[in-house]
Amino acid sequence: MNDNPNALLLEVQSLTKAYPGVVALDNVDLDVRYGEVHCLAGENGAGKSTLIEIVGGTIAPDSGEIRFEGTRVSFESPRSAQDKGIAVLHQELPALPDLTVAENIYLSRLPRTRLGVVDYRSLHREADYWLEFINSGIDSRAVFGDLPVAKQQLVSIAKALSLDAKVIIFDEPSAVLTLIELERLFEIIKNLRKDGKGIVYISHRLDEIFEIGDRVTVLRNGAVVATNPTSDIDKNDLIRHMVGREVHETRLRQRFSPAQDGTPVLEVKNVTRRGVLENVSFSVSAGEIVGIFGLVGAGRTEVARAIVGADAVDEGVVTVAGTELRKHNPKRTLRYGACLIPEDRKLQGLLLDKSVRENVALPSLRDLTVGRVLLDRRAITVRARDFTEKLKIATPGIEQRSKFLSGGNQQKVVLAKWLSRNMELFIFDEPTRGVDVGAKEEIRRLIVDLAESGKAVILISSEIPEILMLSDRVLVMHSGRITGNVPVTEASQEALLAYSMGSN
Amino acid sequence: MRFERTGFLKRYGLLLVLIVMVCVSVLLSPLFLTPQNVVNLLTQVSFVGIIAVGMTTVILTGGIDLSVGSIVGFSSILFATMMHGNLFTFMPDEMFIYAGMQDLTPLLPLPFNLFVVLVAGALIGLVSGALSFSLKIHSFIITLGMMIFVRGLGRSYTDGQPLFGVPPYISWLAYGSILGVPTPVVLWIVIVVVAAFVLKYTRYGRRIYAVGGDEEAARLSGIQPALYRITPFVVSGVCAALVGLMMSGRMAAGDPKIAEGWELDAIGAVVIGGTALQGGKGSLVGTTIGVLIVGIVVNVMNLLGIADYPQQMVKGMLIIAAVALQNLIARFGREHER
Amino acid sequence: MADGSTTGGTWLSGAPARGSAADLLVQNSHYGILVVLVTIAASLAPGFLTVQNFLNLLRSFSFLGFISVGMTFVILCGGIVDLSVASILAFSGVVMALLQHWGIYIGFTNELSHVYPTPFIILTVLALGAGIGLVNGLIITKLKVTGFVTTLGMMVFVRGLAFAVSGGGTIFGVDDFTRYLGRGMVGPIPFVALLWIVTIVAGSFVLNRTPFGRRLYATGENPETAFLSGINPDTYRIAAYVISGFLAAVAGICLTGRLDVGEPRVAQAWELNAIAAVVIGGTSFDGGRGSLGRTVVGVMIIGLIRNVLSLLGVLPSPQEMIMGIVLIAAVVVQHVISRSKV
Repeated sequence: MNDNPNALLLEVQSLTKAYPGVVALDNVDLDVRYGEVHCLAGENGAGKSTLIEIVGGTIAPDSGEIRFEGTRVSFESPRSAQDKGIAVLHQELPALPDLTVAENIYLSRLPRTRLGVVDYRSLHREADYWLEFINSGIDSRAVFGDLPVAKQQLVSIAKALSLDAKVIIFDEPSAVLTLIELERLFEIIKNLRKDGKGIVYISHRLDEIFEIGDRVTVLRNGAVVATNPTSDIDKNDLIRHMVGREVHETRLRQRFSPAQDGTPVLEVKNVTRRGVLENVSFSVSAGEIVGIFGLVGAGRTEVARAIVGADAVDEGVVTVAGTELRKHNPKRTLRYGACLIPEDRKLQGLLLDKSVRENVALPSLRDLTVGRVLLDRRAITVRARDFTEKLKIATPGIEQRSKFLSGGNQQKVVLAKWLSRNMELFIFDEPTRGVDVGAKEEIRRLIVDLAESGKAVILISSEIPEILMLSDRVLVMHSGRITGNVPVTEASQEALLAYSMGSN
Repeated sequence: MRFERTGFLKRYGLLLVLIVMVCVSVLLSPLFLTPQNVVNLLTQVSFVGIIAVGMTTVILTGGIDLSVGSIVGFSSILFATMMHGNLFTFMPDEMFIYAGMQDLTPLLPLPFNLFVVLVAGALIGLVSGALSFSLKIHSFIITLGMMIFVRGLGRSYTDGQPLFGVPPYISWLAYGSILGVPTPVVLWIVIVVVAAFVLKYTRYGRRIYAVGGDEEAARLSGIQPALYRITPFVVSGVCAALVGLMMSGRMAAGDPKIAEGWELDAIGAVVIGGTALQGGKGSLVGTTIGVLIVGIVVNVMNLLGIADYPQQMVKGMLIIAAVALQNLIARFGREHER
Repeated sequence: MADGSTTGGTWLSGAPARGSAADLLVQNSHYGILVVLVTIAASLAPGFLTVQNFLNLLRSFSFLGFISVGMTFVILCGGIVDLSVASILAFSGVVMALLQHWGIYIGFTNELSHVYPTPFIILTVLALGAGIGLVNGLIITKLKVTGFVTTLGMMVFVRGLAFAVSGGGTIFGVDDFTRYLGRGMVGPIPFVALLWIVTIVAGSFVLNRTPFGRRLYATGENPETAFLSGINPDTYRIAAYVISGFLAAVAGICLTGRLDVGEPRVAQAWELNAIAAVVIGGTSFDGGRGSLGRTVVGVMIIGLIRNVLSLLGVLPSPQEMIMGIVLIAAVVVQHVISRSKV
């Protein structure tokens, strides 16, 4: 250990990583001292994940360098980063649920006796030592998959310690922990700090940053905005750093005035799904765009899935177009005119191996028949052609298999599936993620057009500007609850971000 | 612990079923617990039991091996033909008259013949495993092809006819005994113990579980999956070849037609024993209990004089019911955890 | 009927958008094998290319053909396999004969004694076959037992049932109508071959031209996308097993007519031949890709290889070896070509 309190354990210098169309990291500098908790903050997509993936050896940077204890290092794999002493604790751990806790900790280096047999005694002794060291109360003989998620997180901390990691990176641990477990985690982190480890802590919750952090670095659009000791700044500064002074993009949307007599198209009442959603209630009127903002894991997608009945809920009622739906599934919801345009178009939106035509027709096969039984090929062709033209889908033809289309065009095909059916409520889950700028603009226009033609729209997005640009009202979610419900006229980036971090 | 009861069921449920079955069997037939019957029962199940050991290692890695039944038949006739070397060198025209051939003319010194048969089984497994791993084709299809091919290969030697006459030490494999315990049972127990030990107490064994459970996670932990995906097929091939030799002893002949459908018996025992077809979950203890459960059901129905056919029906229901029950227990456990 | 596109569907008329040479090769490798086989056979046996021989071959293909069609439905919708078909086939055949020999239970073994008129017997047997398929489907979707285990158990169970109802023996003699189903001719065409062709055409029609068929494909390729598009995957999985059971019963009825006996031992391991036919045709084991046309070609390839080998004077045992090699080679070749493509 180094006695100099300001000595640098880890230094990241002008790290840059670009993907086609996006600069994920732009000349990022970061340093971690011995015995320090260094927090990373920033909106979704600010570059935090890319940064830790590079430091953890999962991906390689385009340029820049990493220095560890003063010497320059480069990692080809997570393994080589681990060997040096850098451990990343992801939210979703790569773990083997059917093996024991001890085996998960020591899988790649199971201790052996002289006979070449796994030495379970020393395995469990070692594992128990580390599990006890962090006061986890976990038996190393327990089967990993039987542990609650929070305890699994503790196991990975034990693994990091057993690897003799000097830098431990926590990637949003609080997202999966309860309050009490979080307390314990903080205690562990404080002990680690005392031992001279360097901790990098990523969180979306500002309170945590101030409770545990020594310094905080804010990232925005892949660049470092500021690094300050937490004692020098307050929450408002932090939020301002995260949001920046961006020019407000022009609103695409005319002011919406709800019809006086209209019953809402969608009413969600007290929907609860244990551990995921808690008492979610709101409504959406015809012609209205309701934005739902929240950080990753806040429960936005889960609300959408609960509305269309893709996941069962424990309590609560969803009313679509005046009909109460309980124990429904997407098939039934569809009949009442509500649809979900899912977040992951490749895994949930498309049949990649099938043609554009087939994909467009999929939800409405029933309507495209002659006498209910025989598919009306002409009608299908006409409809697919219409919508490829209307949505300007760039494809050699409607027979093109959808896997050969670009991201934006794939997304348009998914939209066409639903636009070609007469729906009353559209739920868009991240409709412009991973889509090029031109298509983004077109998709946003389309959403506005839908609302203007009297449809109800829910827009889920991680991009605050997009929400502000399109919606009439914004719901903000945090930990499965709705923490804010504000008309767009009163919404600002700062306010939304504050709501989404659970501080109001 | 909060979920003690389901945890208990998960861990000891199978053993409980076995014990209950033994008790019921004792009540149903006074003959059941006689030493003679117990020895018979164990000897009968030991053949499929050995195959099921290899099958378990394959299924633990997420694969399946349909070729084992064919390998049994093939090994049996391969061994017999190797023992009748001059048949193929000097009497090609009379190749198809085999009955009563008692003069053995081994091609190689005796132990080598055994060795060659086991190696042949290993090679077949190696080809299956390597093809399905390197081409990422489901082992169901590869071993289905291998099953048809090997069966045909075995039959080609003698055009499907049995070839009589084997040396005494081969008969000993089926009829002999060690300290009063029949040799097949001893072999079965030794193989189960050795394999269970390897799976539980060596890095190799633990990594088989790891790769079968989640290949990607295992890779991230620094494990190269190829070895662990391919070698279980070799183990399975060797087990099947050994059973082929034992069968030669039992029938005092090499017969390529034997053991048809045994692959399905073995798979049935493995899944009854709680090993998941998706891989990564299960144990040899479970498989052994699975083999015993099926064996006891058949044995008791035999003692009661129930015909062959209802026995099959019970076997079929047993397979589905066992797996359905395990799923229900697992689901119940998960719901309690929430 | 026999379409050659890997997108699995001719209702999308028109050329595939990416018609590279490799693409064509992948899509048509099974035709290539077929052409080669026909050429070999024709050159070996002068009588091979006659209409009569062709029709005879067709008849010999059709029994396996029926269950291969059912298997295609199961594999297309992502159900992996239906191992119970051969047992259902045997069971159906036995019940078919048994219901015409009700007197068997009071001692008149060889005289026909119908429980009720033959058409109703046929309906009963078909319903039984479909019913077993339904049970398969329900166990798989509701109890979440994998398709492999469920149908493995069902295979053992139903085979036992077939033996149990027949008392383990063979039931000799069926009525003229049943015999016609297996042996009769419609003009020059064997009835069962005709029935098989009708089944293929109807099956292709259902798969390609009806919402049901397209949803079945969707379920097989990506159940999650299908689910969010308003399709209940379970419905289609169950339906596939029902169809498979139903067609196995059809095959069982016809085979009983052909053999003139109800015999519980028939069709051992045919489920594996049916799977081989589907796979050789190039229908993907992962579901959602493939077609009935491909399966027909697969069935023909298997049948023709046997035919050609017999013409060559190859003994039955080496024939088996070659079948195994062909199966493995077919999947390997398809794999290699498809990998070189993308």
